[in-house]
Parts: sequence; structure tokens; C-alpha cells
Amino acid sequence: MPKVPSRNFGVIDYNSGDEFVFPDGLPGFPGETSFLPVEVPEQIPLLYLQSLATPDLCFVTLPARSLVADYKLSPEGEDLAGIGLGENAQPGMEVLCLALLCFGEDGTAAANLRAPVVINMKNRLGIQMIQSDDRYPIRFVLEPEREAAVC
Amino acid sequence: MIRRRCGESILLGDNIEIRVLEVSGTRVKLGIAAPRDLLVLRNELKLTEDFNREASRAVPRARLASLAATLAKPRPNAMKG
Repeated sequence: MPKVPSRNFGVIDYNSGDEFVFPDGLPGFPGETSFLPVEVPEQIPLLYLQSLATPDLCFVTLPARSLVADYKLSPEGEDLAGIGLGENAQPGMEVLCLALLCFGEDGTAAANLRAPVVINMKNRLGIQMIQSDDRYPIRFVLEPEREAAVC
Repeated sequence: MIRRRCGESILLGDNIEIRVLEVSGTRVKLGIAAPRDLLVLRNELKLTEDFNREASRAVPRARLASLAATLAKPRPNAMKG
């Protein structure tokens, strides 16, 4: 069983084939092509993407639809051809659609809904799709007020 | 500021041409002719690269736990699908 060292989770055992493969890497990280999805049961719906190449590299993500219930993808042309999906692809059982999160100095979390990470669950290939459609922002702020307001 | 109609173009220096190919609603299709060694990027790509670099920084565990706790609470009209 392969193992991968990680900053957040120590050494992780996983089954080969569990990882998501990004043929083109991610914007800013062109050499990072393999990420293991890691769920921490008490932190669902957060999903971590742990790099198999770099123990210190671990992205924090949320399913786009956990932020916007009717979130829609706007793939154009060959946007998703590299992972075996077409222009009709939408989040669902076979298409995982994740927003990467980043945290500001003050702890404020923002999710990139403009450029979601899209994974074809049939072949576990992924791509971060930069959409021209501007209905969703690059920085969708998860304000503490907003988080508190829905308690 | 320069106003252009469909089919018209602007020149930047000697060897960069940007032509308006199509306008429909709020969207504009541009054709860009530039030397091969000139990197042409959509602004969103640069912004996403910056976002990803920021997102790759370590996040305090306590912050992740607090975010998860907030998200786990029932949120009407969310979490569907």
C-alpha cells in the first residue's frame, strides 16, 4: 500500500488509484499533477487535496455546491476535454466540483468559485477550469458574520 | 481610451495587434496577434495563480476546525445536490 508523508496528517496510507491526476498541474503549480483527496470526518464538508509530490503542499477545498446550492459550471469548447468531459458537465455524482480556499492574515476564508477544480470521478482526472463566465467571483468571501448569521 | 467597432483593431508597438472579432451582449471576442515569445494570459489565470499560491500556505489547525464547525451547522438552502 503506497504511503505519502504530509504536513497535516503525518504519513497517509492510500490505495493507488485513489489519487486525482491533474495532467496540466494547477495554475501556479504546473508540476503538481497528483493529489490525494483526504477527508477528516469531523471536518466534512472540507476536503483536503494533499500533493503526492510535496508533503508541505495541501490545499483546503469545499464542494462548490456547499457554498452556492445551485452552483453551475460554464465549460466552453474544449475546456474539459482533457479530463474526458464535455460542455454539458455539471456538478454531481460523476463530476466533483471543488473550490480552493485561501485564508487571509486575519483568518478570513475565501473560495475561488470562478476557477473551480473539476474532477471526472470516472477516470479521476482533474483540471482547474478558469471560467470566462463572470457570475462567480475569484474570491468568494466566507465572512465570519455570514457564517454566524446562518447558525 | 479608444473606441472600436467589430472588425476594427488597435496596434501596440510594431508587432502586437488586438482586433475586436465579435461583440454579443456583455461579451467581447478579441483576436490577438503577437510574437510567439510574448506571453498572453487572461487576467483570471494570473489571479488564480496568485490565489493558489496564497492557498498553498499553511493554515492554523484551529482555524480549519472553526470553519468546519461553522459549515457543519444546518444551512437552509445550502448543501443540496
